[in-house]
Amino acid sequence: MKPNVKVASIFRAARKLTGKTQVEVSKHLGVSQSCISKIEAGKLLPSVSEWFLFAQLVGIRPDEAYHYGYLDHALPVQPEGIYGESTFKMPARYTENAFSKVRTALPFIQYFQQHYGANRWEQYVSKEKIDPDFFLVYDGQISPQFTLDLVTRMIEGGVLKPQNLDELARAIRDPSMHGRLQQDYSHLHGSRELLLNIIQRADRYETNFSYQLQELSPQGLTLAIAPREHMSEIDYRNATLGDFVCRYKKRYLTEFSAYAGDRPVTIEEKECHFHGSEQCIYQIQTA
Amino acid sequence: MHLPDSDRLNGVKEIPNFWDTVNRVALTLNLTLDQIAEMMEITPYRLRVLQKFHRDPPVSSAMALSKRINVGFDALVLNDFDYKLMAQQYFGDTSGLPAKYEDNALARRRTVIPFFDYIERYFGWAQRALILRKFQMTEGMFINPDAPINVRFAVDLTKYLMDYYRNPGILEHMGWYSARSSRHAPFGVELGKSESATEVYDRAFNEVVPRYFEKNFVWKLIQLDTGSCVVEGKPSEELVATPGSENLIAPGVCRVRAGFLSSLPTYAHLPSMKVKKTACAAKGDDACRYHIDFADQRVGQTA
Repeated sequence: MKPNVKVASIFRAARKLTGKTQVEVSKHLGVSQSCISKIEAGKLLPSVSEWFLFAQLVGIRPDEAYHYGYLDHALPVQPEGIYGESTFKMPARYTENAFSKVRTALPFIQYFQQHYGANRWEQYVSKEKIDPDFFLVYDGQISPQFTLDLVTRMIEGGVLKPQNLDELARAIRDPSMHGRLQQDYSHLHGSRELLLNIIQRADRYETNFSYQLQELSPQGLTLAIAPREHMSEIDYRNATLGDFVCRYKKRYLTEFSAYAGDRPVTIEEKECHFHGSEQCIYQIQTA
Repeated sequence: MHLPDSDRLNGVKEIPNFWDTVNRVALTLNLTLDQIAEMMEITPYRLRVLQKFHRDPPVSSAMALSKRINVGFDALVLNDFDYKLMAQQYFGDTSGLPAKYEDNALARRRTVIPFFDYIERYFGWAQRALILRKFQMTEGMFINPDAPINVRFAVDLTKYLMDYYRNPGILEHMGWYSARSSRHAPFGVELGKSESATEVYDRAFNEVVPRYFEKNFVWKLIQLDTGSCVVEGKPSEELVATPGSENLIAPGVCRVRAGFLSSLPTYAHLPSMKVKKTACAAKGDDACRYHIDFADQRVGQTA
């Protein structure tokens, strides 16, 4: 990606994240509003001091944002949201029960773009009236309904079938799918340690489900996953989706266990929320 | 909710004139205008125009220059880096440290070499390069593991890692990795002759650490038997006499030490031990004290 385009995206995302207008930013940087507009359109690169002052204003690391191209503070889900001042456009359908982080949607977005192309992705978010810059803020919060709608779209379009679930979930092994959290995992070794860590950090991904360790032994662990109260308002078990959420979670844990190159774990489902139980219980063999 | 403080550049008000910095870099490195333009990835014509009209270059140019002269972007913008060192590195002498790490150097570079190996192994080579650049260090500085270095570097690096990753477990893991990755070093071979955890810690603190590692702390085995040991470290007189030494006794380094201590038995192909810190000089105690129970081993972390 050309530096202009990458910097423009981050610039827009960071400004909207802090709720600043172009005029406010222009005053802080000592430039005209049209200059900010050109930077955000990718027609102009910010100068050295403009980028430095901008980073200071919006609270980002100038090196990191420039090199990595996303914003991530790796904060846990908050009921009231994290970035109270943010001005990203988002339909109410996706701001209510906003207990998923953008990072949870990344594998689905990547899958969508791989199968439909980047242009179709832009058309999709435009049609849904979502600001595409929002997806550069990896710990921005959104309703799980967004991901479910995206999955429904792909199922109905025929690009996401049961046999494609492996391909979708394999994206989890890519460190960039986890944003800044990748640093927390890269020093871990062993599938058990990885799973325990991601379960501990579940609230940095979503709080739509609770994740309770029921048993822990050197050979493995038993994990209970139950929907939280607000999920009763989300249609995640309809005719199109079926038990997709459950199957995806199982694949997710399996693929993540192989994040550091170890052999993936095996998961046996003892109970299933999608087939009568109040929760899903997974017995996971790590040894 | 507020953003973490480590993600804010705390209240920098005045930014030096960037072209003054660039001109000084050019002068120090004896570069022509064309050469500095090439390093900044802009045309010489554009550089002249920007300078003439006192306009800053685009951020991409500063990032390119920062990479070429091995100076962090923040340091470059704030004109806060060691020019002499930059010149040394540019002209091929990559062994000299920044002055603040060269003076009063009571530790050996082997204590920090594994830190960069750890960073590369777990966070990638790009991160290793970024961090080296941030501290104005090069790979050449770590060729000789016996060369001295000020403990300030370990303090600064651990503080940076703590601020950046906000996960103290990384420091202990890094200490653990440091010991484990030095198995074939002379001291590793010596410790490898041990047949029990008791022997490992005995050799480590009576022979190896004073000879191979550091003189910042004086280490003593307070108690050692077949079941456990207690190790105590006090700042040395030389460290205490160093100006600003109160800033060189830091909790981050203590965590790394705990990890290192836990991993010592792996030299003898024994499991790592869990280490409990019972006193900390960084928190005002008279010494750092570590208690190691040989029955309390770390599952999954063996030789």
